[in-house]
Amino acid sequence: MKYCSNCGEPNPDHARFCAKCGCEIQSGVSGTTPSPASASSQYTLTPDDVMPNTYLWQSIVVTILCCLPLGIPAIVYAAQVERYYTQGNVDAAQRASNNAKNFCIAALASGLAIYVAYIIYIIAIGGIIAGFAGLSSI
Amino acid sequence: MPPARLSNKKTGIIIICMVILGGVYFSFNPEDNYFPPCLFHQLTGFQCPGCGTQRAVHSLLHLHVRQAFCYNLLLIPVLLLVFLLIYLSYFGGKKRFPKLYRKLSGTKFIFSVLLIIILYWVARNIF
Repeated sequence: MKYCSNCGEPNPDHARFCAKCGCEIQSGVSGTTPSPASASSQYTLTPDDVMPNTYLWQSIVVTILCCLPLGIPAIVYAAQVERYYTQGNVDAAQRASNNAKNFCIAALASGLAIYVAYIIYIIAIGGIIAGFAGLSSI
Repeated sequence: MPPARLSNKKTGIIIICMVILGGVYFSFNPEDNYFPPCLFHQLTGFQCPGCGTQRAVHSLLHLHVRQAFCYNLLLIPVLLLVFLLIYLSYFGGKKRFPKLYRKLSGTKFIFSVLLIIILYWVARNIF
């Protein structure tokens, strides 16, 4: 059992984020009882360690490479992470981060699906043409 | 924050995929081979911000930088930004340049990136 460094909520050992407040759980506080004094200051002391991932480069890559409108919302959510985080709304920042991630995955998956479907289509067409060529040569 | 570090297995898979794709895009010119076209371009007739990326990658792998810019203006700046962000996120850059990482993760910066992509999208369909 380890305790969230932000709100003191007990979380399972493997948890990387607090189930209650969404903050990243610092590994140093594992197994210790939370002390409210250090808990409130830790969050402001090391802001760079706690801010949720923005998934910026993933969003840009899927927008440019997958050629899909799903990449744009991913970038919009990525942009919201820092704003919510500086406002102190870690919950919303974590949600924006998760949304950015999900849109990236959706864009990547649909991009790959189209890519693979196209390759299968070309191979099938090629097969049909080869089949006709074979027939006509007989 | 996740994912703080890529596992060796994941890194290996990514590198192998990159090498295979690089080989394909080096050997075949998307201009005159059966490469997947842009769905947006097929459906609307307009160009999307990513149109021309495959041809630009082919040109870039042959070191034709100017040609790559002609096919897709954004590819090279985007690649540079992505490499920088990957370095910052996975190879210790976050600790070494925390201010830069914070700036590049900022709302203002990300909205500027979005604005540039949308402007390019509009501009390339007008000019």
